[in-house]
Amino acid sequence: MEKKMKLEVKDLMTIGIFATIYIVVKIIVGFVGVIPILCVILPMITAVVCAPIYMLFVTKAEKFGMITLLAAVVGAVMMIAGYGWLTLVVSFVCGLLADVMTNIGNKRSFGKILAGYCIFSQWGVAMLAPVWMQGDAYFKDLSETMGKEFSDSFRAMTPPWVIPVLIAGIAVAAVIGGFFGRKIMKKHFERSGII
Amino acid sequence: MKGDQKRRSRPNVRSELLFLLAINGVLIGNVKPAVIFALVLFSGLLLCLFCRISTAAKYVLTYCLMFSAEHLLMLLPGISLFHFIIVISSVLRKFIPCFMVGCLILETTTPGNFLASMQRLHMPKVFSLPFAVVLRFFPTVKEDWHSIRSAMKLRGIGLSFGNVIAHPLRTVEYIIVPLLSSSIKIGDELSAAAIARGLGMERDRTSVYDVRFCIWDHLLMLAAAVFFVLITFV
Amino acid sequence: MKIQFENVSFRYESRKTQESVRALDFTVNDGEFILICGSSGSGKSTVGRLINGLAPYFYKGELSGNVMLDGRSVREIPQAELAARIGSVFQNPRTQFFDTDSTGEMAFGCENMGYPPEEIGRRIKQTSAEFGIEELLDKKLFGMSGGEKQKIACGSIYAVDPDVYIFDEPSSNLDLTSIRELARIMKLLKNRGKTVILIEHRIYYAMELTDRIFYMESGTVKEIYSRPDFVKKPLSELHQMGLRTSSEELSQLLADRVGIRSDRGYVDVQQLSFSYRTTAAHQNKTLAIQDLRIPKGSIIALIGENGAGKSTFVKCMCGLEKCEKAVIADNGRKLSARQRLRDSYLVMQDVNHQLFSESVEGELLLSDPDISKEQIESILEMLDLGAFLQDHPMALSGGQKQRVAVASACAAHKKYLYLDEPTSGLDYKQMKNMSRMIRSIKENVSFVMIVTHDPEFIFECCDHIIELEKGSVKSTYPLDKNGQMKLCEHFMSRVIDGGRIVQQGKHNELMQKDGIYRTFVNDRKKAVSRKL
Repeated sequence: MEKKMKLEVKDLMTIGIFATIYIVVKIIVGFVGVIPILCVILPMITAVVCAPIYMLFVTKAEKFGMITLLAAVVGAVMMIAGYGWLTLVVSFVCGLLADVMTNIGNKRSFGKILAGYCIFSQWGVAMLAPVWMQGDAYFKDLSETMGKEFSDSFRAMTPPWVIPVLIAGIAVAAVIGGFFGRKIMKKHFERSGII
Repeated sequence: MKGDQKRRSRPNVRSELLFLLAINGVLIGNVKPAVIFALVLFSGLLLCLFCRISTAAKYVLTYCLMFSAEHLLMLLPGISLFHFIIVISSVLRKFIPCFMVGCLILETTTPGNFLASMQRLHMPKVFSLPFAVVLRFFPTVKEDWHSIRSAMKLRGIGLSFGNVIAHPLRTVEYIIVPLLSSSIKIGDELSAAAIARGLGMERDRTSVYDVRFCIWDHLLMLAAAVFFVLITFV
Repeated sequence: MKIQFENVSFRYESRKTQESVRALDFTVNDGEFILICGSSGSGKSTVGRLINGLAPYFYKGELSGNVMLDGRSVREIPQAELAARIGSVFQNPRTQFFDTDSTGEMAFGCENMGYPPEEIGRRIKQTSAEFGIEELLDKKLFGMSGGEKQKIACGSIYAVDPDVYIFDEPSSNLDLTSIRELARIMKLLKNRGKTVILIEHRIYYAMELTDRIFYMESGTVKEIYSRPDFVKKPLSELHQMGLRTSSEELSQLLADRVGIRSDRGYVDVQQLSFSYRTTAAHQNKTLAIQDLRIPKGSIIALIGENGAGKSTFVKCMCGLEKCEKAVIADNGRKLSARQRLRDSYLVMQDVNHQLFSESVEGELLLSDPDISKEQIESILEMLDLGAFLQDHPMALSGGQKQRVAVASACAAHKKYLYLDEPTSGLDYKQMKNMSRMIRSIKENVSFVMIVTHDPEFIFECCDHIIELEKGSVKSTYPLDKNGQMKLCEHFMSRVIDGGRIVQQGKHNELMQKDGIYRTFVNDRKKAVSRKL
């Protein structure tokens, strides 16, 4: 049976629906991170909690481009919510790479899907990026307004290696999430015949 | 006038988006506190005019509180933790005007209006349609979530601190599974209804919404230019 | 438009073994009003989907045979054209609309067709005038009642002006007033010569408009009746076909009340006040219940118009909403919100929100981790779920899911059971099963309170009424002889005759006039005196 590879209205609506669920769950998780310090690990918690949503989506996203669009739509909503245009750009790139990773070759496997999910979840870094993108001008301004010790101590607390650690942390969380997601798929959605 | 071409006296989502992008610079780098505050007040004005006053008040008050708290802490002796809190607060505080404009866009744009406006921008349907679905579906999922939360409370597996700490993944399972299955079912019904009413990719849609720019759009675009200059160069 | 089914069979992709419909072969002529009825699962909805093209375009599956529209096969007609010529109104008002603004929603179909904006505006104006829904325009859909949403849905289709209208159980989630208004719209369609296909369990509201009735069973059209033949059928045969009793025929229902108990005491509710904002309408409403006695050991029907506060009242009683000043006491013993939360259970309208486990057994274990095997067996036995012990709740049918929810409440030893509109969309047999189930667990709980506007169901299983109006208690009475009369009057306060309001007024006025109302009341009095 030939499958049409062009995206149809039905697919676009599926993307919109899953994007909404993903975002709502992300917001629920976000209430956990009200304490500013915890907000750094939010993308990691999101990667674990939202995994079943992504996994279920992937079973319905048979065409190339759907994962890209899912990421792009989520990124767009976050951008409009106020997290900056970088979120959209990063989401699109992560989504595209995840899409390629998942659909490369003829057959899908759990490994490919998991790898795709690790890449997909990295979009969360973009939400925190402004904090690190402050740049030298910011620190200069900081030392002028608040004194050099402030500027120095903050600089010490946000060294450049935080970002790679964050990326690694999200990847690990995504792997955990992936296994959690697969368990949920088997336990509920396969068992009840929804997929 | 009811049922005629809808022309509301308010800015179109396109100019609102432009404004949002123009002020994104406030998140990064070096912006004078006075400029940020002016931006917060301006966004509050927008919310009062086109959304709810209570929402505007909430955001403006939060901003003022954070700003005051920072400066109060600065007067205290220099403990490292205080430094950290102050700086974190000063960074997070800058998100507030963006949150405000975002709230304006997301709460006052209807899916139909959004589709019509994006079509004007020649944005491909593959992008605008899923986003319009998010606008439509979001309140529904929120309702479902409240319903599930009530059901969890009744079963004693609610989102209490104890439950989340003791068995976090299980609690997540209790939330995610009903939310997913309910949303999928509703999503299917929504899609079927939309398709049965001719939503398609082939031809351009027309719209009962009049999405031409009005005076508010021009004013907003002017404000966008002004703030962009203030943020970037001052 | 002429619709022809030539030996059509369809099997959904998800159901590998069973065909949904088989060997369908019939013709619908232009301008006919067809009613398709049958029990749940008989394939009625599939017929509608085959006509509007959703099967197999959206609901994937294997189609054999030909569905011909004006001589052309549906497979060859592009979906856009199908949407222009065939309009579909679905069951759930909540999930049909695309836009969040009512005018934008009315325009949705026309916008998809690409009509110029002035034309769309003109059509909306005309539709809203003919439907009488001008005051519903330019409003947020999330704040509207189910009936209003359904009217907007119909208006949205009407504005496109298709040749064929397909209604798939449109009255399922509506109260009586809204059903009457829906019937009025259908009459408008009939007068304009449109072809209408109505798929329903409740047939009375459009009976006078129907030309032919198709009765379906197990996926085939078992019989086709003409209207004159059909109306001659006795009520019992209609029930056999899964059809629901009309409000006029309520007098024929047996009134065997199995002992209205007042010996188990009461749950007293005092000073329950709650102020809330309805979601999108941003209106402030108040619930103010002063002195209410709820008899323990009874099955109570909570009735009232939309917006009277029924759901809010139930949530307060369950302890889901905080009403600090309220004093709720069970035979004198005060119950705090926490205690009520622990002891109450609400079966929601969307039962998918309250099933958490991967098996029915798991659901019961969730309620009580120490429950014994025997207890599980006895609860499932009582609720006719014995065969489904290891099944995943999501795989069960709607009615079965509701029973699982009730089973979990029993396992948790809940004392106060609430149900919110449990009979939406159920056919006759399912409604009877639901009623039987509730009566069977009556002894296990202190009371059962059901929010409903289904008169047939109330007569079947309830023994007490609480009526709410604008946030306070209008009346409360047991369903004895007098109570039943009072209830009939409540549902019949506006007499209908095939969808038209024929008589309107208070009981005393209408008793003076010679007409349907007086005849009904007298018949009812005779029927009641005979049975009791």
